[in-house]
Amino acid sequence: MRDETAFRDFVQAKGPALLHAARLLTGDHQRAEDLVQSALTKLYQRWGRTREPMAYTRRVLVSTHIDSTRRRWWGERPTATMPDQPAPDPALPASEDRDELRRMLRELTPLERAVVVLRYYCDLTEKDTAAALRIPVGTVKSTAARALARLRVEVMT
Amino acid sequence: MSPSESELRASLHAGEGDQLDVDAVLAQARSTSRDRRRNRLAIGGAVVAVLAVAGVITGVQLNHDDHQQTGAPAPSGSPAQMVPSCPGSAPIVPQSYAQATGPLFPADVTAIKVCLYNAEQLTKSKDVTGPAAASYAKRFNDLPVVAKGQVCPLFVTPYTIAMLPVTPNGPAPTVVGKIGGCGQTSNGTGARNAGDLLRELETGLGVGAPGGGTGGSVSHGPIVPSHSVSFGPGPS
Repeated sequence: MRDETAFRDFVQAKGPALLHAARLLTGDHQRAEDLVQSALTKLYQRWGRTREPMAYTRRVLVSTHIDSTRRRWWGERPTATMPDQPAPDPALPASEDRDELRRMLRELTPLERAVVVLRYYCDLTEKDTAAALRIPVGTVKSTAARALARLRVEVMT
Repeated sequence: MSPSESELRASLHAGEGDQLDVDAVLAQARSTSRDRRRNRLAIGGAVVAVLAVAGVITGVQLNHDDHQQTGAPAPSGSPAQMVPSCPGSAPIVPQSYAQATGPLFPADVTAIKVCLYNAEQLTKSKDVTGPAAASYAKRFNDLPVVAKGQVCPLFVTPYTIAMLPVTPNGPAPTVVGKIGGCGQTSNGTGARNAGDLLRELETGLGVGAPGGGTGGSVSHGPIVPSHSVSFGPGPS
């Protein structure tokens, strides 16, 4: 039997951090909520069988996001009519620096963005980041270096 | 840690603190979990159904093969699948038949395993099922009971026929007959002189005992028909 009280406590405690990480990954509040919901649903199904629920949820969060950015034959199609642009994220303060950071984050590749979020927002070690993304530690290092370089270059110009 | 990294960390943490709607998350998770469970059950049910259909088809196919083997339709319940196997060596004719008046076969026989032995060695066997089995059982039972004090010629061939009857309730006592002489046949509680029928069965098995069941030119045994007999339903 699933312990729903413990799951509810977990969502209440860790939900805000997961939602913010998802927002940094997607750059969009609505998509971030969907992403977190998807990750927490997967966690709910494994609840009680996962020793480290937060690590599991983070791993699901980033892998689901990276998977969603891969273009598939049944995925998004070019269209002549532009859809409505998402409104500015009201959760982020309207600071120019932060708007600039969000813009720069969006320009990173999904993997680079995931590495930046895991390393500098979730404060994971390189080893844990590698485990969450299921890539070698060396790839984490090189990807982080590349991402930071791009962010710094952007900041400095 | 470089200053730029500190700035990056601070910038990334800015704006956090939004709460999730826990009830909505939980409701969605429950719903998805329920759907997954339902899907799993549906898939499991479909797999079970497919296996059941495959099992029925296989059973029907096996039953059909048995029919082809005996040339007679088997009744429901697939008795052919329950027919026991022949003993490795010829069983001994039960000796208590002298005044045994009981039937050789039960009335509800559904199959008979016929085993032919030559010098105690199993040489041939065949399953008789359905109406053919019932017909043979009736014909054996209808033969006259061995009369008290009856004298039979001593000529005996090396051929023995063992018949293993099967009823809906399981195997019945084995009926054993010796070809030759009077064709004495017994199951321990009933005894008949069944030379003709034993010879007919033997011919049906495709193995002719040399000299026939009566000792060739010696005419002191039952008269044996020379025609070939198949395992179809016989006269009842």
